[in-house]
Amino acid sequence: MRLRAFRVENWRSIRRLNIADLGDGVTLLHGPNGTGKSSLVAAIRACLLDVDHDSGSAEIRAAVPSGTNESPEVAVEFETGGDVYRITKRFSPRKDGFALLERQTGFGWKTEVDESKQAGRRVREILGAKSSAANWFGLLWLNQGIIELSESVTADMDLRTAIINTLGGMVTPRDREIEKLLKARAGEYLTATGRDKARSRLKLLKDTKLPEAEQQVAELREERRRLDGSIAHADELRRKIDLLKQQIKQAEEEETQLKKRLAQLEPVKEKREALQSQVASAEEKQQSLQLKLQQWRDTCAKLDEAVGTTKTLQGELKTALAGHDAHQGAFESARQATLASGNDIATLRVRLRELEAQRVMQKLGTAREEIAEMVAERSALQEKLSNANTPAIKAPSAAELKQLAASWRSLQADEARLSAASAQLQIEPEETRSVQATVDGQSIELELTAGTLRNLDWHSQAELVVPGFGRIVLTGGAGKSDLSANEIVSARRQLAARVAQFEVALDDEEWLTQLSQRVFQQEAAEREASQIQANVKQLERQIAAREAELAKAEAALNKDDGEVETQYSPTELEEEFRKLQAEIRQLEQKLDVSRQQTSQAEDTWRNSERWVNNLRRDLAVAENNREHFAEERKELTASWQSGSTEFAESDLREFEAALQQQVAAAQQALEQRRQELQAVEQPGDADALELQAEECKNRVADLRKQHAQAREEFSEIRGRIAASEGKHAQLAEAEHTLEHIRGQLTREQTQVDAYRYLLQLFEDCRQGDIAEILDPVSQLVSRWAREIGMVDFRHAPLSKDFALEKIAISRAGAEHQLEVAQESYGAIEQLNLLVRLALGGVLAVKQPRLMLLDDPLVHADPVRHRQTMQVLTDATAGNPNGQPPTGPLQMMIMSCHPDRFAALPGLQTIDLLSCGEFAANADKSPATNKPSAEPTPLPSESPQAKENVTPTRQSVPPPQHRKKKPHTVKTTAPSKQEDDLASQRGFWD
Amino acid sequence: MVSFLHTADLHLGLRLTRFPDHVVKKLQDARFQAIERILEEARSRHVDFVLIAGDLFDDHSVDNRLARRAFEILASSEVPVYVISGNHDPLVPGGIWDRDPWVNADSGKVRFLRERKPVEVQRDVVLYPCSVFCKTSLEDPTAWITPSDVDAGCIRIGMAHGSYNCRPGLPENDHLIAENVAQTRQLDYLALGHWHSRQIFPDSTGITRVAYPGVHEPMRYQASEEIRTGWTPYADNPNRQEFRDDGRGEILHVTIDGPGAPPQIQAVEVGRLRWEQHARELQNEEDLSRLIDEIATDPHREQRVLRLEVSGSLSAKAHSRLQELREIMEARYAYGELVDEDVQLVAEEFELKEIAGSGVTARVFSRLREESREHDLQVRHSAEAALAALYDIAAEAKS
Repeated sequence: MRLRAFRVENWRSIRRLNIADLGDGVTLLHGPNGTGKSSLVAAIRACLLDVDHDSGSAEIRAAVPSGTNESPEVAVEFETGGDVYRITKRFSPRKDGFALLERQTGFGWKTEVDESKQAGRRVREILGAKSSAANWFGLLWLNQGIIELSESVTADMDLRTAIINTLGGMVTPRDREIEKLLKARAGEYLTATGRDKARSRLKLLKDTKLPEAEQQVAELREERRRLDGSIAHADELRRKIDLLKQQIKQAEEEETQLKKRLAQLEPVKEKREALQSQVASAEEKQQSLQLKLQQWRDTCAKLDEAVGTTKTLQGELKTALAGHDAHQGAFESARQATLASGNDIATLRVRLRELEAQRVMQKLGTAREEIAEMVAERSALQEKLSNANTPAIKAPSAAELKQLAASWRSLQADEARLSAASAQLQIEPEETRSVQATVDGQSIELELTAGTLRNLDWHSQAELVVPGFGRIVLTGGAGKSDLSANEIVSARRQLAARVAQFEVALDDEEWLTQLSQRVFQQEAAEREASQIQANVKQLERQIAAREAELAKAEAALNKDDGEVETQYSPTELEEEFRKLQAEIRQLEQKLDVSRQQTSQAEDTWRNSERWVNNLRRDLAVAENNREHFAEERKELTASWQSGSTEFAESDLREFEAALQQQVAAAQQALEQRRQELQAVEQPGDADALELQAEECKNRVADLRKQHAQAREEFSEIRGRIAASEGKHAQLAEAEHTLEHIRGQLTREQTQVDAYRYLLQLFEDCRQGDIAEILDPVSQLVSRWAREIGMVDFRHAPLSKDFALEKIAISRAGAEHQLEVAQESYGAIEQLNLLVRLALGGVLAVKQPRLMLLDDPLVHADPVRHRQTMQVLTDATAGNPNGQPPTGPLQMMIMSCHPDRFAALPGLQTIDLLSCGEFAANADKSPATNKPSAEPTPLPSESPQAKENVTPTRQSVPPPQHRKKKPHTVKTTAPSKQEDDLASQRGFWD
Repeated sequence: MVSFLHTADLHLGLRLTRFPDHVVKKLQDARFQAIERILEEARSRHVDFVLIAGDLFDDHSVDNRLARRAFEILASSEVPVYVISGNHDPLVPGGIWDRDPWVNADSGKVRFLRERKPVEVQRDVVLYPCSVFCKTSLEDPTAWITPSDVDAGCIRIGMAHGSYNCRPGLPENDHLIAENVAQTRQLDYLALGHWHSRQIFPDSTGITRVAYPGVHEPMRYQASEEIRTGWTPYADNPNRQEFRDDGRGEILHVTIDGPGAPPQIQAVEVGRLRWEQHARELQNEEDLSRLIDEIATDPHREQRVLRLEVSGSLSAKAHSRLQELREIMEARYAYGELVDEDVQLVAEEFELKEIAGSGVTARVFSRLREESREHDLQVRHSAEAALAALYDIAAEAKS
């Protein structure tokens, strides 16, 4: 397919554009940005394939020029399969929209299809594509900015088939037919991606029928297993029942035998029972007598023991009572001694208190004297203090002194500075005279002595009035100062006045020292006075304390004893006091001893009293026992010897002997009965027989019960097995079904696996072919890549969907694999362009194809760009003898840089601006229909133009019928010089 | 003198699972037809009675319709038919023998002998029936038979179901019957059932007094180790030699002249069908053609249950004729099963071109053919399956 001419009206910014006679080679359509190059491409796409004439799509609405109501109209002339067609579409959903397909004949254009919808469809048929993005259009028609092969291209099966067919691929029509059948068969089971279908016969078998059948069989088998168990159990039961029957019979027989034997043994049993009862009563009697004898003996022994105890205790009590009286006497005498010692001590303590009172009185006198001394001392100190308070010499305070010293130092400094700042005039008159002078504003009279050098110091100005000579004014002085001599003088005067109040003169050099000494002395005197005051205060406190003590002591004395007269001197008193205390201590020690002795005597007395009491109690118990046992013996005797209760001791022995005889007689009687019992014939195992008979009876009952149970169980099993009638056939049927399903499943699974495997094999084999047949294309791309300057490029295999994924490059003698995606943007664009050129060439072998590039190679550097031009030239020409063989490509390039493509040989250059009319500022709102503030002027309303915008369906004026030559064609054959020039300039200057 | 027919293991209601429904019916019917033939033989041979030594039914829970049908056929006999239970149809409470009409089969022509006690079947002929009460048992069913003076001068015939303990290795719970039982129990003849092929056991003097008649109608392929019917014996090992039949149905005709006289035993074929299993190797189309002719023209084909296993390799054209063979077998035989999984399809070059063309399909074909020669069985099988599918599809595409 080649493009021959086109006409566009009212399409976005394009008011009118008419281009005819497009060449077979490379055509460059150029114009500045915003002219409408991309709009032109869109218009061609829309007219040829993409948009129906009556479409109200957004694209068409956007194509209507802003501010107008004009319907866009596009006509495209193309050549394919030896025929030249023209499709004209006016895009409008209204009545004026139409599409018309014409074919060129020797007699001009002939309508091929005039039904609008049909016309669009027919074009798509002729071009073999549903849209301009499908089939080879997708590969060769590139919009601006597209660099990689889009998925719609790589996944386009029509394109793939076309390429593979052209390259001599091995997919034959028969292959396609077989594959179609295979897919149809597999489709019953598998999805397009080869997975098991969610619902298929196989799935049904596998997921539903098989488990159902398996479950049914399992259930029936389980039932059967239970039945088999029942059968085995029935057999056991059958045997058991037989056995039980036998056992019951045996047991019954045994029971009868036992009963018979028991009946025979009955009389013997009775006699034995009577004898046994006699033996038992003899035994009882003998035991009773034995017990009585023992009781008698015990009581006699206990009585004897009680009598002995009573006697012993009585003796002990007598001794204890004697000891008790002696202890009581000792205790009384000790208590008397203790009381006497206590009285002595009390007397001595009265005396001691008297002495203590005397001693206090003496101490009070001493205290009063001390207080008097302290009062005297205080008076002396107070006197001294009042003397010290009289001031001696006038003295400043320390602060004042500090101020005066500071003033003095300041004055001296000022004076020194003043003196240092003044000038000095030395005057030595020849004769003595008095001169009137004003120094620094102060008039003084200078007495000058002849021959004597007199100094006159001044500060700012000195004026000498020398009689006869006149006035001498000295200004400036040796230096200026901020100090005023007057102020200093006045300051000195003030200070002198302040100092004078302390009776010192400022002129006296020692004034400050004197004042300082005075201040020091004054401070010393003050310190002394305050010391004295402190002493006085302390004394006062001491006096107060003493007086308080004294008062307290006096009060105490008065309260206790009233006035006490002192009999002793202090020394004597103390001596007496000590003596008395010693005496008291001695007496107290004695009293302690005496008390201790008294306590011991009391303890002894109390103990003996307790002992006596204990003995008395024990004696009472013993006597009580004696009486009790005597009574008991009496009672025993009475019980055995009825009537007589009195026995002499000698009779007691006889009585016991009689008792012993009774016991012996009873024992003898018992022995006799026992022998009689033994003499009666032993009934042998009568009891055992009875037990056996009982056990036998129970056994029979138990066996009968078991028998009944077994019968019941047996009949239960009978019912269960009877209910299983026909189960055999059911199981057979279920197993049959299961077998059948399994077989079917296996067959179907095998079939599905086979289909799946075949599908995979078809895909694999086809992939193998594609890789093989695409290899020459890869080789061509690699060669071109090297030609455009990728010198280290070695090989780039194309995948089955024609994508370049990896490239092999040679660097430093070694081959490396690189991911294409890692390459630069420019390189990717260029490589993909080469792939498109190569595949386009392959497709063009059977008939030429149009390659449409909107602003290509924008990322290429000048050198790469120029070298790519050569490849473009080669690709355009095609090479039917190459490997792979390639056909010619018609190349249409849109660019705003015509100079970049100037180097292409045989280039047809079309300046879009010179071929039509374009709306100004179209770029500002190219994709919207918003009316602009300043409406774009319509193209001139020439009759020609008018006719163009309102064509009738019957007579669409073909572009070449236009009077105006539709475009300027400039074919360039660039010389070597131009080429060089272009490269030297660089085309983006 | 006494003359009787001895059969056993009729397995009516046989569990058959690996056949199509219509074939199952055919096989089941054949078993009844064979009974009718037994009765015909009884009539024609003027025997005194018929003995069925256990396993008349395949299971104690077969359905009543079938049980009744068997009863009615046997009841039509002119001579008495004595039946005991076997391990497949043991005498269990509620089982087949406990249900109508068999529960009343104690008089009339058909007599089910439920008790182990001697029965005087005719003057001077005493029968010792040994019914079985359980599927398996450690007990010798003949143990109860005791020689007695009461029967002196009578012909003593035992009838039991179990394994004759004539060789080592028999399962001990399989109702083992002691060897030399005829001698120890003083039996003139012991009519056994349980084993499926005819077996006679001559004693040291060469006289046969113990015998198994085999099945009256075959129930598995002749001497086949693998059971291809779905039937399983109620014994430990289903593949035991004892349960393989001869592919034909036979009974024994026994004649005993008098007490102690050696029995005269004659095998009589009564089976309706013959089960056969053959293997053939095919190398070319001629082999196949011959086989097809042979199969198609077998005069006894309607009585044959045939399993034919073919192997070898065939061209694509010849391979497609296997279907022809299959159809013949299915249509003309009682049952015909063609097993052709082992026949390799080896397409000739010209065939391949015709089938696959020269494109992708041809490549797929050659890949599959390579793989079908692989040693790895899994690879080979999947390749063969795929190849067969592809041939099929290619054939469809061609048409």
